[in-house]
Amino acid sequence: MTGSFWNRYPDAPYATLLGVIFNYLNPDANEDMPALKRSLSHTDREWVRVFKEELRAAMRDPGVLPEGTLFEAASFEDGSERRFLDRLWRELYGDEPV
Amino acid sequence: MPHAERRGGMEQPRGPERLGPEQLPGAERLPGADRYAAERREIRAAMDRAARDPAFAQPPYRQSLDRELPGPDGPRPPRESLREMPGLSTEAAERHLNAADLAERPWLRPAMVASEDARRVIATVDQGEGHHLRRHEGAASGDAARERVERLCDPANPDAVSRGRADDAFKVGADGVPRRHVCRDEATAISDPDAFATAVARAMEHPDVRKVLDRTVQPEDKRREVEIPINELLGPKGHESCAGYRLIPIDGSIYKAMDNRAAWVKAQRDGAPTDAVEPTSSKIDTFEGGTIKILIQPRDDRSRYEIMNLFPKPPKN
Repeated sequence: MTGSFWNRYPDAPYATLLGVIFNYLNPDANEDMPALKRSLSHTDREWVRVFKEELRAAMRDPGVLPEGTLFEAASFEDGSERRFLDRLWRELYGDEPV
Repeated sequence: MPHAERRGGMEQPRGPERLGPEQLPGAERLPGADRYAAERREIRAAMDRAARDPAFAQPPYRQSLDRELPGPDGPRPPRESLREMPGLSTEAAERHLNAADLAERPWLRPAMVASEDARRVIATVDQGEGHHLRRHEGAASGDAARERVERLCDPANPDAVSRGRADDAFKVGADGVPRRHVCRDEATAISDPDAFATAVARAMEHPDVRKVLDRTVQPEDKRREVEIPINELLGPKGHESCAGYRLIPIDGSIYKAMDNRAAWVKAQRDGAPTDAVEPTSSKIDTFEGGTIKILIQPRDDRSRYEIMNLFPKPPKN
């Protein structure tokens, strides 16, 4: 099977986090943070809960993510995975503790 | 025959000069109210010459349109896929292309040297909501791709000054100011218009893409992505129609290069001094073994799914 980690292994740990980041924040997918915030407001949805859990875990240790997949998903300009994840948490959840 | 070169598996005569869309007569801006009509006449005249003169090279992929490629319902030539793709009629497509202001829609310029079947597909894509024609076809290759990956110049933005400021063609902030364009560490394109149209048409009949396009849009539906090997969509030589540039890492780090590029472009936009260095890129060596990524999302009116983006990716190292 061809394609991104999150497409090849949709049930793998962190596939939800990476797939959502790609679909909403990658430049080639027409990145759209407001749309992501709107979608995450549906807190009764399973994927919304999984996304937040996986983001928490990745912030504690970005090394849990398969190598290179976060950059492939986000094409971030923050200089490091950790800085990108920190910024993402702040933008999505404000001052809420990790 | 003094020269010959291998193209598409056949020995082809080499013309006095390879005819690229940017080199066509009429590519320069002509003065006067009939500037665009004159430009089109010149381009068409060049096409006619090309059709008559075997020493005048055509875009290479055009020569592959009648060679069968494997498909979900058995082998068939790309030309059939081009002809059967839903969209504008041939007449409506020609009207669209003939009425186009090529200064406002420079991404249509390569279509002027494409086959009639490819032009119909390109005109159809141009009337859709996707970004792929503007950012990942012939007009967005070469220097345009390099300027995009280094300086974030959006090829979808036809205004040269605005493009030079890295303004995004589509996104405007709440203050009415265009947002800064964003781009990953590669800018890639299917540089041949017939190959681009074939990629679109064959993608639309690929089972993995159809599965999404045929869905009824649900309120919470979001984007979906499909990735297909280049050779599956364009044939064994299809990678030769793909091109692009990749940002050069700084201190071995692509993260640093992306961070540096953002800082450098911001300083240019603000007219401010910066410690960031001017970004650099290198041409991508080959797309052989690569894929074409297709992003599909509901149209703005959520009436149906549509391909929103389609671009080639080189193989992973």
